[in-house]
Amino acid sequence: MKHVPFHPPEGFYARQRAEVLAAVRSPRRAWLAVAASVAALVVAGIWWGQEMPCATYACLLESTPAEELPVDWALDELSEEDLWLDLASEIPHEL
Amino acid sequence: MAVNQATPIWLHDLQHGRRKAKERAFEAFLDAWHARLYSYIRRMMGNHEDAADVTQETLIQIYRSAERFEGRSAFSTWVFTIASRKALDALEKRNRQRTLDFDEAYPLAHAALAADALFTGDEIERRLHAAVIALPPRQRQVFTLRYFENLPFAAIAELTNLTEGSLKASYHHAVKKITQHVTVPA
Repeated sequence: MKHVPFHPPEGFYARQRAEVLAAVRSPRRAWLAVAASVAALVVAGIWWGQEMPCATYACLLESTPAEELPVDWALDELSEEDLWLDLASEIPHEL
Repeated sequence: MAVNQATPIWLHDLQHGRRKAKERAFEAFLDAWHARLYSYIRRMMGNHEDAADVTQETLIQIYRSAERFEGRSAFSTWVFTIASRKALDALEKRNRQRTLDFDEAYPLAHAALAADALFTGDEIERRLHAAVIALPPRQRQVFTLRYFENLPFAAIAELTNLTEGSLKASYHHAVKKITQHVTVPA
């Protein structure tokens, strides 16, 4: 190789070497990050997808259209205490 | 792959090694080739910024496609093939709007080198490199590989897919243009 009359800026080779090594290693890291994100989404999806049964009448009021409210179920399944305590604590303005 | 004295000892790991071994082999490759590739690409591109980008792309490409090197040519020929393709692609993108002819390009290249703080050559070297930069990209490639990198015409023919005869003609044409500017006051 003949004499080279130009030189890169100070530290160029070390910086580029570090960047190149990071780039050739990054696909593996990227895959791990993608896999972790997908797993997190799946877990979150399963969690959100689960039907969370309402344990209080206040919860049913919030999550169900008025015409579909299982009033009979609530009256049968919930104790007087659950029914009225919850209503009183969560939507007092409707009392 | 045929192993001969010119085959670097890290080449097998670069091609077939597991992750850690391949990375170590690539570091050995960088020790041997980083500066040489940068110099070649810098001569092709004419300035540091473009050369830095193309060098980076070339190095990453070599890491990713090392296992596809079949040993039918010398390893150096294969490396210069990748570097040349990357450089020619970048030059094509850069020159898409207009390609200057040699006599238009030479004074611009000479002025750019005169203003380039990273160029440390004397006036003769400045004229030589300005003339190289002013050559059309393919001719610049042939001249650089032959004159600066000392590659035999047979290897250049392999990496350019041109015949040795046409390469020799192109090289001598380039030498004629360059000599004119190196020997006559700018």
